[in-house]
Amino acid sequence: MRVDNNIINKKRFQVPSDYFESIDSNTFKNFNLKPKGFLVPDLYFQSIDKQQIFNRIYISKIRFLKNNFIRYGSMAAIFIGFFFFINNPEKTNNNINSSDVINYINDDLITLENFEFLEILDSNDLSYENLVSNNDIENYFIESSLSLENLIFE
Amino acid sequence: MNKETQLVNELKDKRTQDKAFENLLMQYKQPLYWHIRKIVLNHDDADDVLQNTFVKIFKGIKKFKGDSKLYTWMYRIATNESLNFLKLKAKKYFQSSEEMMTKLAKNLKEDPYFDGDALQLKLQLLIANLPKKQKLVFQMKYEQNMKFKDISEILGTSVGALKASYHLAVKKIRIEITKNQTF
Repeated sequence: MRVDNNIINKKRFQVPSDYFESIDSNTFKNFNLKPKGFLVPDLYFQSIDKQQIFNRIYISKIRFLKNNFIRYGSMAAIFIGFFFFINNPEKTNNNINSSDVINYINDDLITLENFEFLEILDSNDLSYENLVSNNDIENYFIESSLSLENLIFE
Repeated sequence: MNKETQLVNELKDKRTQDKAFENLLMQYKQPLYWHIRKIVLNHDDADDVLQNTFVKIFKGIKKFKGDSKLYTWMYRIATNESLNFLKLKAKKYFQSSEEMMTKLAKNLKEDPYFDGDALQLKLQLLIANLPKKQKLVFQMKYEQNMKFKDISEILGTSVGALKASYHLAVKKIRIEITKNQTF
């Protein structure tokens, strides 16, 4: 059977004005929203407002920035540290000067035994001749104006 | 221009964004809450997921092209947020998703925001034990009376497959409900 399109357009088939514009807001009218047995706290739906959502967006933004700062900051610190180490390896070794070493030993942080000194120093370094020469002794007597008699009788 | 298109345009425009978002929240907070609540079952979890859903909606509205209805797009976000939430929760407690759902359904007995009778408790436990797709389609069709076409847009599954899933879910639940019922 052929349907005449004019039948559909007849005036008796009318819809309320703005019916099709308002259909979206009516979508949920046919839904059974609340399932049986489930409850919500009093005034729960009134408590949800846009500020609550915006606060959450703000917090998530801060968390995102904080995480990125930690992530990229630590990566940058490692990179910079590595860069300096590669470019100035000697500088880091020369930072300790001799006075620091002397102070370190004097503070009894290192106690060396006699045999350890012997191992470190050559036997010639410890001989009397090498420490004070004969000429040095003669010069000492002359400069100190001490006579041989004085030395003997005193 | 219908109301939905107008609302989307207002949400995309920075000058009208705040007011439009307020309207969107007023209009959709209850439907979305109940949709989420049926999936996660617990009120506190539903509240958390609902807020995350609106955060995602606010952030993602610029990418909404209008290929689908606004409400199906929002339902899709809410569904994904709920499922991700459950997945993370199950992971946190070293449980499978199925174990977690059974546990959540059993917890309803002591939930202060649930006053259903024994039959409703049993129904929730049976729904919780359904496979994921069957559970979602059952909740949307049976409990919310949504159209298959809309469910298809939300879940990204064909109408035919959804009808088959729904049929199986109803059959399983009917058998279990009538099994121990005495007349």
